[in-house]
Amino acid sequence: MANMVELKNIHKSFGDNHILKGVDMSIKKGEVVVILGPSGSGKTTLLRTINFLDAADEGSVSVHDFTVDCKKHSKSQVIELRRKTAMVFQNYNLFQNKTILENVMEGLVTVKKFKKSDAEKVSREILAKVGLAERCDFYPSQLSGGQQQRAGIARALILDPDVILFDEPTSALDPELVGEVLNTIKAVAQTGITMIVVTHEIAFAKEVASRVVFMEGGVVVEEGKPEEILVAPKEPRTQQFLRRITNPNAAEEATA
Amino acid sequence: MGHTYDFKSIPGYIPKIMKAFPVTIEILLLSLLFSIIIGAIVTVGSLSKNKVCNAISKGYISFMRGIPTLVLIFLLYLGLPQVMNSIGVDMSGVSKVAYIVACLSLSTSANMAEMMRAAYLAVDKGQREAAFSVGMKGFTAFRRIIFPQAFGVAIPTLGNNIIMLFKETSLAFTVGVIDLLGKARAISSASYGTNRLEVYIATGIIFWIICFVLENLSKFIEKQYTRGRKKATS
Ligand SMILES: Nc1ncnc2c1ncn2[C@@H]1O[C@H](COP(=O)(O)OP(=O)(O)O)[C@@H](O)[C@H]1O
Ligand SMILES: [Mg+2]
Repeated sequence: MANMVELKNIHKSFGDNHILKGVDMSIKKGEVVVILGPSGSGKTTLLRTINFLDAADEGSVSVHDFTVDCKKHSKSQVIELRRKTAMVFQNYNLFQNKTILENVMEGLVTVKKFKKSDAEKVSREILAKVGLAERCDFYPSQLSGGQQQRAGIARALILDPDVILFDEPTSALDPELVGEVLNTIKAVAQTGITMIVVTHEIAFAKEVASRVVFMEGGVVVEEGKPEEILVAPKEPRTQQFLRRITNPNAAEEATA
Repeated sequence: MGHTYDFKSIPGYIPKIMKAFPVTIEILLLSLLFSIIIGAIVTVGSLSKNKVCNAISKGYISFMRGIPTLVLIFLLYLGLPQVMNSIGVDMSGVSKVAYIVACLSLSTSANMAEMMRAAYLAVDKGQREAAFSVGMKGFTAFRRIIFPQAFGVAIPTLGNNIIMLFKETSLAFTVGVIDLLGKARAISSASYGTNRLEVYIATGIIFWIICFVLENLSKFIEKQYTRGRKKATS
């Protein structure tokens, strides 16, 4: 096996809007790739083309040696690809009609065909790991954003995917709840699972990323080790972006 | 006119009229069943990307919502047998109840379709995406995630549609079916209309009580069904 995730020449348009303009990416098993980039640069769209929530117009997606051609793919290929991936959403997207426990069990029961009792047992274990042992029987709307997102992470983890896609997992949270979710994600990263994380949390990226990718305008501008990209980026666009998000006041002055 | 009204006799008419209750219930339940089936088919059409299906469904809904049920009853009950006769099909064997069920099913199906469409669209699209992201197939996602949420949204409207349908069953008397209202009419004509007011007051009370029960039942079911899901606590 060469790479856990391989994206080749991904193009995606919405109507006349060419959003992704040929993205290539190779990710090894166990790598934690953090994607940075300004809003609207196509980060979410890129993650969604990996699990075909949006099918790319061109290119191919491979996960764990299973390759799907974006132009011509069958439903069953898409299902198989999705079963190798899991996603953590910006707005959590927990199943509103199910308790936290049922949310985590759902994939095991419907997709992996676990017996209910077995699914419940492992789901409770994983919920305990993310600190939600006491919240199993609550509905999503009864929990804080941080708790919901940790449940979202448990729902993704339980499926034992080859790669987990995180789309700005903390950007919808109140500031005081960001820490608990980042800590959960750090713990997940330490298990050695392959992850792609879109985030603006630079300190987090420094700590857990094995690689940082900077995207803008639908292309990868620059990528490398976190200490290279985050401390001494070569590209002026990367430098500008980092200045802006690490020092919001400077950005205001620059645009004023 | 020298009539003396005997309001104390009203409660006595209620059990007599209620003898026809099974007929009304039969019409109600059959119409409900068929209107939901037709409504579901029309909903699929109205949500489909196929322009022709879409136009047909929307046209159907607009027509059925626009035409008074009584007009539909006259069209089907009086007009259809004539048309069928002219092409050599004899419809004299079709029961009156069947005509009423057909008319009520058709007219209610438009409301049901509107209800289902709105409920379906009310479910956040992130719910389906989350279901897909854990690897569910489209039908599984619908059955386990989308439908249960849409159903919760639809309960109040469904209750309302059932109440309206229940009231419309009274149109059955126009073709001579002995439903609740048909029975009331029969009781009243048997005494040459002298107790007309009392009998119809009794009929009104029956309809009102049943609607009251249905309304509260619908509220109760909604509360039970969506229990815990909407409360925002920490
Ligand atoms: N479903 C869609 N339909 C039309 N345009 C879309 C859709 N999804 C995203 N876009 C557009 O694609 C661009 C990139 O969006 P996105 O991938 O969400 O960027 P990012 O996550 O980097 O902020 C934006 O301009 C957005 O408006
Ligand atoms: Mg985004």
